[in-house]
Amino acid sequence: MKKFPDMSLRAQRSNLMKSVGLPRPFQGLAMTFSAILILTTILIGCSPSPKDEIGRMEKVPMPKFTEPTVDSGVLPNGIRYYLLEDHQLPIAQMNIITKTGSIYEPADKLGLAKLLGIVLRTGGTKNMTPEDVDRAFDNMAAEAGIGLGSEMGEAGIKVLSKDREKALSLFFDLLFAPRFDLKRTELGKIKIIEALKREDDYPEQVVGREFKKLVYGDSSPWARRPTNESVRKLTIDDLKKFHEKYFVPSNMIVAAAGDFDKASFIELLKKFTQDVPNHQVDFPKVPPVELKFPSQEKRIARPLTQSYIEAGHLGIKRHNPDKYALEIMDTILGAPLFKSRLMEDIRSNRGLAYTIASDFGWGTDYGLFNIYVDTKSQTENQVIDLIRAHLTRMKEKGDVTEAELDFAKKAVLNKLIFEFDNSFKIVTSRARYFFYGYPDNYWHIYRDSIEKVTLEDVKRVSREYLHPEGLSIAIVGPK
Amino acid sequence: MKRYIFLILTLLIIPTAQAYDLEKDVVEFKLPNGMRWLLVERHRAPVFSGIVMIRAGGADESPGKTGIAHMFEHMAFKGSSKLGTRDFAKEKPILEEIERAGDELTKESQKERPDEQKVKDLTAKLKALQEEAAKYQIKNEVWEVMGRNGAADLNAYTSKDATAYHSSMPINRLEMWMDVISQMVADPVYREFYTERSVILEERRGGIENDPDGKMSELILETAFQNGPYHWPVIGSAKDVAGLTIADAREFHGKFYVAPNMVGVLVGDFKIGEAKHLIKKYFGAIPSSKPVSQDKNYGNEGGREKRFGFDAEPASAVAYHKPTLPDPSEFVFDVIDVLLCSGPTSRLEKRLVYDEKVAREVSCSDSYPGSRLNNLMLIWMEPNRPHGPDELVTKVQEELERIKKEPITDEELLRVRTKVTATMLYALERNMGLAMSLAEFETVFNDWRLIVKYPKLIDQVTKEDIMNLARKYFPKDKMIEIIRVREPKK
Repeated sequence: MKKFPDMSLRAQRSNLMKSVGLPRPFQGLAMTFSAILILTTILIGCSPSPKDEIGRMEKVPMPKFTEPTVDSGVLPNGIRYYLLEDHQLPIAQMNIITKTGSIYEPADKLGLAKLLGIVLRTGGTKNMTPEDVDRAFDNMAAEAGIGLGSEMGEAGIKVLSKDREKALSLFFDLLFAPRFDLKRTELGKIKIIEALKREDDYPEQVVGREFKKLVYGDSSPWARRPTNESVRKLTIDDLKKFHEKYFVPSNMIVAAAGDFDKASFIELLKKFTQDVPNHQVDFPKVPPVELKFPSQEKRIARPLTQSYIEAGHLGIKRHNPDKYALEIMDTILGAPLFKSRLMEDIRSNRGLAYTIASDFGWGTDYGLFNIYVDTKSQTENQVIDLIRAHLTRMKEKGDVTEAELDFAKKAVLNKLIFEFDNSFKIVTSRARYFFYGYPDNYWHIYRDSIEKVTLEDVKRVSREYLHPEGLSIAIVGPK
Repeated sequence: MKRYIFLILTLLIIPTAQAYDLEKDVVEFKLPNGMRWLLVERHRAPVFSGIVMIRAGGADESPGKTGIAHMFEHMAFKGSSKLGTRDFAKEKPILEEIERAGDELTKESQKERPDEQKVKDLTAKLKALQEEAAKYQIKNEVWEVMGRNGAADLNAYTSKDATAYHSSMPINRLEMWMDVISQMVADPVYREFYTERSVILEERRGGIENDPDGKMSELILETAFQNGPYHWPVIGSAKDVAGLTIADAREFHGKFYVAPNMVGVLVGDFKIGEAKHLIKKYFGAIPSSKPVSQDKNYGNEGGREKRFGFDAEPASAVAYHKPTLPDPSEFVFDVIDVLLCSGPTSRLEKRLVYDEKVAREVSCSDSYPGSRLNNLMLIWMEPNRPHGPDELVTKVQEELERIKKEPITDEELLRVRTKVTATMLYALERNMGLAMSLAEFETVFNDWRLIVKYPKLIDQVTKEDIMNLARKYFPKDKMIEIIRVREPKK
């Protein structure tokens, strides 16, 4: 009688719930550091609305709100922590960020980071077999996960607060005293290889993967993919070396919130990490992305009734001060709200797509600017032409209106309060600021910078950063 | 009931954890028209989450008109007589003409041999009328107003059981939420109906035709339910959707969007008194006519098999028919669901994924595809190469036989109880998670307090109950089996 659909079940994902909005491939993108950011105060609606009623309601001011104070500090071994007590429910949550990931893999060991995440989580500890670890966590109903992305490793656990000491002890053992069980390592390889294979079954995943390769190049650390061969060849020794190099206290940030006492939580952190070997990590040099905008297209032929299209080019680096104006430009163009130029034209007016959205991204190196759409095969060319036309218009016409600017700024700013509706969200954001090199008060900077964006800024960044003549387009669809 | 990403619960019975008493926090409020509201004050941040759920879903459709519940949901976002228009008095007569032309076009297109000239003329006429109407329309104004005012997770969903409209907003927009959402459910204007129909057909292509899992779930329903509305997916058949008209949507709305069928939930930083006042103002006028839906169970046979080819890796599903609430076996099924499929120590995951490495994924749902009617216990699996989908089915059979023969262990029983309570508690954290769960229980089972009672009901399930139930509902010859094999398309 599960009363809220279990989204982990494929069958339900695909057929049980049908929604009007939020295009699937874009749901996660809200979490690309742009939207994650925050605000205390809320803009009071000041533009005249055609509807008196709505206009009146937009004038209701936000009540005064004081941000909760996050406790932060650095342990003698270099672990940085962000803590927030929250006793509403008897649960505790922790997330540990480690600077590591697939961009640091040697070129002949692709898949190493992914495999390490799986083996750390499932491969047991020096003191306990994998099966015993599984039982211990399951019997406490603890939810634990470890995964390595391209430049960040994340280890998270959620547990009933009464079990926190037991659970943390075991969790830190997974990170610092892993067993690297042979059977679980083999299972991890099977998992990765099987997932690689199955990725081909979902055109929206294939198109995303191919688009990245097209823009960055097949062998770029930001786009390259493990292969069956590269995964099969990985050894336990490879895992151990990679683990030993990056999983040290000096390279980790802890964020925790929930039903605990801060002082005793810090004691637990010390207790579980103080005897761990430590060093400063020497990161391998990652080859820089070359900034270029070639016009190119790649088609993966599939006998489908739809074409899945991803079009775009390189974006910007994370600390580029134009990111705020670009965020506003992106919101006007096609951010996943219904009120965007692309959505309004291609979906609402023409009924050509269910999903269409853009994302102007930034990264440690150049991020990705992309537009995703799926449409019936007969209208593929029409949709691509429309996308190109919208980009050209944005870049060359400079016809963004005050109303569009006003809407985009309010849409971004008024939502920022939701960064504070959950204690765990608050501390994980703070940990990420530090990881990405932002100051502690970054959300103020973010808010103020968005508020300051002008029409001129939007026009200027559109001219400077959009390249409709240099689009990379990946298409999965019928030949 | 298992890993509810969002689900609920309360009344901790884990001895040392402090109890959280949800019952104390929920304020019930019923409007004279019969609409029920559940209100929970939470003052952690100046925000709230709200949802309006209607007991109207795929289960209320009839053959020939499948997909209308979902189609209506899309239309609700097109505005009202106040939202989405510059001048409704001038727009209205054009909308009426659009409806007539659209009707005629739909009728003609649905014919076995449509008159091509007529289709062409009507299409042109419709296009011209739509352009005329567009002069008075404000595109996507619902999204614009809500988006501009900080709405987070504004969306809606339709299931077989119900339709829900939801959004979180800054607390100073509580009245705006009331105003907009009430217009969406009570005063829909059917703008851009025919364009939206194309959007949904596009959605169907992506979700079913080109998606191996979507296709598979459609076939599960088709095979398991020979009769009744669980036979088709929420989105409906392509043919039916292409034939839907504005009149169908209006009729569906009139019949099912009535106050006694509706439940509203608010969770957040408001005062109960203030919320009640606004609820009366905005939802008090919804008609109170008696809901017509009378849930009725249809005879559906087990013991069926369906194999199909798709250009994708293989998968298998095993399903058995089962009753729904108020049959008390529901709670026993919930225990079996966790026992089999929740976490690396659960029986199927441990054996198939970890010990024997034959499957990459196993998941269970014990109320597929909904809870209003008798439904399915469903187990979905994906094999690792070189193992095949049939091998997994055999192993699941063996595990089900084991449940019939041997009582589960004390450790397993305790683990299931702990998991049920903990996962619900985890889900309580978020305002929207709590709001959705309250709405679902009240809308589908007419009893949100079931959430409060739930851990106790799970605790009462005994080892014998589990064995008896497995013997009764999992006889080998009643198994429904769906197998997907790779078949390259040309």
